[in-house]
Amino acid sequence: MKEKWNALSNYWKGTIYANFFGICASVLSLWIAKKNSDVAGLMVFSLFTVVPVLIGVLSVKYLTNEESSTRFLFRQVLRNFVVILIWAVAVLKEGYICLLIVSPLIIAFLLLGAGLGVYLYSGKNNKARLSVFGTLLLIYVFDILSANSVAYEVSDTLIVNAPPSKVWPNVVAFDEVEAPSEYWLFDIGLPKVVAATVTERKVGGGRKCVFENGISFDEKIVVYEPEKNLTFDIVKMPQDPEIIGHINLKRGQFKLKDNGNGTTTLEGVSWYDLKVFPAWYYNIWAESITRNVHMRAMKHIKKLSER
Amino acid sequence: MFAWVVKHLHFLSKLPLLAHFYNSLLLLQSFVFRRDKFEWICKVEERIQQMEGVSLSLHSYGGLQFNIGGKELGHMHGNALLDVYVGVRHRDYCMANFACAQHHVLEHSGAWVSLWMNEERDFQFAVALLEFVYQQHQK
Repeated sequence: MKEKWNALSNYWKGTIYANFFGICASVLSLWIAKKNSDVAGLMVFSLFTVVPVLIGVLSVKYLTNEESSTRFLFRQVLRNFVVILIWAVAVLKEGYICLLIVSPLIIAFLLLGAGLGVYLYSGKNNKARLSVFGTLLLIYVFDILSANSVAYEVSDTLIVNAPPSKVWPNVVAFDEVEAPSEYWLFDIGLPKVVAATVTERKVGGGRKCVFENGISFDEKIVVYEPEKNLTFDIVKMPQDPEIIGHINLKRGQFKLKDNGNGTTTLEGVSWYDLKVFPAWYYNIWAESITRNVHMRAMKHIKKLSER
Repeated sequence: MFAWVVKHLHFLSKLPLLAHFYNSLLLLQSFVFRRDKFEWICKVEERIQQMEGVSLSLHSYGGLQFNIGGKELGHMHGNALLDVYVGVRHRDYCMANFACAQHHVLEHSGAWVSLWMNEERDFQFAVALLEFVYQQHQK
């Protein structure tokens, strides 16, 4: 075993060493966050920041000065990134769009860690090493013990050239959306909204928001004010790898405002909890996706109502 | 974007590691969108490593710092921006001969210059500038 280890190149030694600790830290953070929080599937800030930095630092432990230039560090970072990707797909069951979203963050933190590691492992920087590892550990512990989900609200409006009486039936349910995609994430495979169906047009009625690939959100109407307000709670989310465990859609709403000139202001609102951190980063994506889902549905409602 | 960040978010550089994280993003951006820039960064670094007595360290505002005799010779950011200490005496000469400009932040220092590597020619100027400054230190 020792001979095999010694026969490995310094790059692979670093990669194996670092990812062993990285995977242990990830498993521990997922487990403790799950135990300490009511929110299932919570992915803490540390998982995307502290852990990659730690992997980056440890992965350069065995490198010589000649092996520590930017070019070689970058290759080392990419090697670590591939291991993380394999782990994320095989064990965490992540979808490729999630991986695309998280990649810049992971690579940047791996690079940061690798740069820091070169400094820490060159010469006798014992004090610096201790303070960096100590700080990372403190952030990690504080983070996994205090993690919780963060709530967000996204709202969009659109003017429909038709009165509320014509718009309302299309808001409650609409048939096949045939419009081509106007959003690059839809183009590369993020499921698009294709229809909305309803079982009963009243409070308590079931509604379904149907996406591509047979994915659907089960909803329950909680406010039903014809020509004014349709609010529904999301009661069941699809088990899609791009969604599961990261975002919890709670409620959706369509509000109609009569403009008095034969037009209607249609407002679509969504409320969701994010379970991945740093939330500000993931919310850039979540907000963008939600807005594009809103706009695709609302433009379709506009088209149907203006016929 | 970089100029805006440096001008308006400079105070954030006091937060530990934030500047280094930003530099990592710049380096990643160069690697993905401007591979030529990334190559120039690597080649400048390789050239610097061949200079006897020059050591490398992390620059406090993110990037790779070149030191000689315990003093900073210059540093390079992840967006292929090279900042070099040339001294007041050589500043005008360097600006005239190596296509560099006043330092992008310390405009009135009189001793620092900046060189943006946007094309192959700039990369050659960057190497020549560093070799010139190194020779001045050797004298």
